[in-house]
Amino acid sequence: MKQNNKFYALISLPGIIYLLSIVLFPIIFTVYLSFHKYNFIETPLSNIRWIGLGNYITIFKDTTFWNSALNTGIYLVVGVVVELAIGLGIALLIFRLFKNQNIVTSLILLPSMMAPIVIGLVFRFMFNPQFGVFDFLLSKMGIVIENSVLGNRSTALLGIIFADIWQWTPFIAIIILSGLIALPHEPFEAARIDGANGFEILTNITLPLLRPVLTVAILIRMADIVREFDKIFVMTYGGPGAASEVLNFTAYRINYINFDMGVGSAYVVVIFAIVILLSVAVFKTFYVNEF
Amino acid sequence: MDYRRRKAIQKFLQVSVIAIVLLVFLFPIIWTFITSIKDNVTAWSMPPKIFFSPSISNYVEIFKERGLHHNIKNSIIVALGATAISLVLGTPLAYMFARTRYRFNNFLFIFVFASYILPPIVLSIPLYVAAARVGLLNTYLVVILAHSSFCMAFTVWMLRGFFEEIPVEIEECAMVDGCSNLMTLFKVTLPIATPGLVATVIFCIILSWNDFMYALVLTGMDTRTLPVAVGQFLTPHGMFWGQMCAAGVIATAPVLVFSLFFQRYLIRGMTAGAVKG
Repeated sequence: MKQNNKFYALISLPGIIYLLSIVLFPIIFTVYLSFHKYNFIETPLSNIRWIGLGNYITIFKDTTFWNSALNTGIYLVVGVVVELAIGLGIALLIFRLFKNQNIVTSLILLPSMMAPIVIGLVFRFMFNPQFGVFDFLLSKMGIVIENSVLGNRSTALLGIIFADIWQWTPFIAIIILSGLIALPHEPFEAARIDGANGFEILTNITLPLLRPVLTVAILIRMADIVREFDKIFVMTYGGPGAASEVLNFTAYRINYINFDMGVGSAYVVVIFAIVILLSVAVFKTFYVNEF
Repeated sequence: MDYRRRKAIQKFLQVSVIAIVLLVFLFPIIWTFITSIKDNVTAWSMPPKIFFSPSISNYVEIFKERGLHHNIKNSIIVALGATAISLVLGTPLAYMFARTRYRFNNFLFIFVFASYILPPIVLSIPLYVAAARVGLLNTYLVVILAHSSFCMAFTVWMLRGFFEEIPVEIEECAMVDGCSNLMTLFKVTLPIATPGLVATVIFCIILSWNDFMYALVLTGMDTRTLPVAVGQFLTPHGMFWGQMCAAGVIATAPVLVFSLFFQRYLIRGMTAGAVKG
């Protein structure tokens, strides 16, 4: 047994060291930068000046930050809720029909496998006011949006969320489906004998049993949404104005367009903290380990 | 009889709903493909033309004029490099997670998960600053390192699930027969886990292939990967929609083909632990 411990330590050590040096130390360096005044173009790294929480105060006083935070929040709530709702519906439907994964589940998952950048471009194309198919359909339905969906302050973010929902709902659906397939049969039989109807079974048995799977799905989606960048970059570039800027995008702009990496690092630390907090919150709320 | 008919109608309705759902989710992909084989005049006509003579001019242009094959080559180099690192270093780590119950395992696994969900921008800043300092910006190495962070986390996460499905008893048998720990891993466990390994490799490559942000920040003219090149079809002077769609199809086609075959492993690996199969 002693020898086993040595074996496992020996084989896993290179991986652990590598992951620490490529992830943990860089994060520490970013945190370190966030307490300094540092412009990548103007200041050499040896000349950076410690300003304590200065960068964070700058951020929290800036309306840009709160605008981006609000947009991130809207994106998170609308995206996750809609994707979960539709995803659950699709999963239940597929489960009823086929009881298992098949060609339908493979096909439906294709959008989630595509590069987000390609999806962003495709949706930008389809939302194009002159020859986009969505704008054509909307105008056929009698809905006219000034400057088209992505060019309008109040709908630009919704357009991006729409593309996100299209891309990730199938993924949620298939994850939930895999959970459904693995559920035990006994509780359902018992409920049916006791005379429960479909809706009661869904809310009282299926959903509670699916909790761990739902947690995984929500976690993955939330982390993905907070770091969403590609689609916004090509669909609106945060515009019009800053109407569709999320935190991640503002951070990119400050770091790599303004090269103001002190403030930028503080932004990044805030984003990372949000991801961690959200994950912990979801774990605490949903992941009740009953085994 | 009446019951049977009602059942049949119900089934028909459900199948048609699924068909509509499928159509909705596949429509943009189909639309991109159709646009990519239209010439510029047909692509711009609204309402869209259903019947047209297909042309491959867009595909010819993106290779001849824009040299997309260089970007494809870059993407392949980066993806293979990141996947190789992840597999070599991640597999033993995943094996350790699956076979041991050390006290620090939980903490370590949370760290691995955090590496997976880590927003690219967090890691991009230190990498950018460090790479600029030692002159590694615009090289393959820095992008490979960046991609290996999430690829490796993904590898550990996926493979742990696959290793856990392999009964320990098989390994114990091999050891009773005189295999060392290392021999057992290579001669028994890894061969059994081959489907999982293959699926992990495929999805690592896809993750790296699809990444835009690291590549945007860390690559230059010579090392630009495919997604960055695709993003550059967006110019202030106008859009080359036909070419853009063609490049999109090129970037998407291999992903779609591979994922069609390996998806079931992806879901199985990712939800392992959350799903009691």
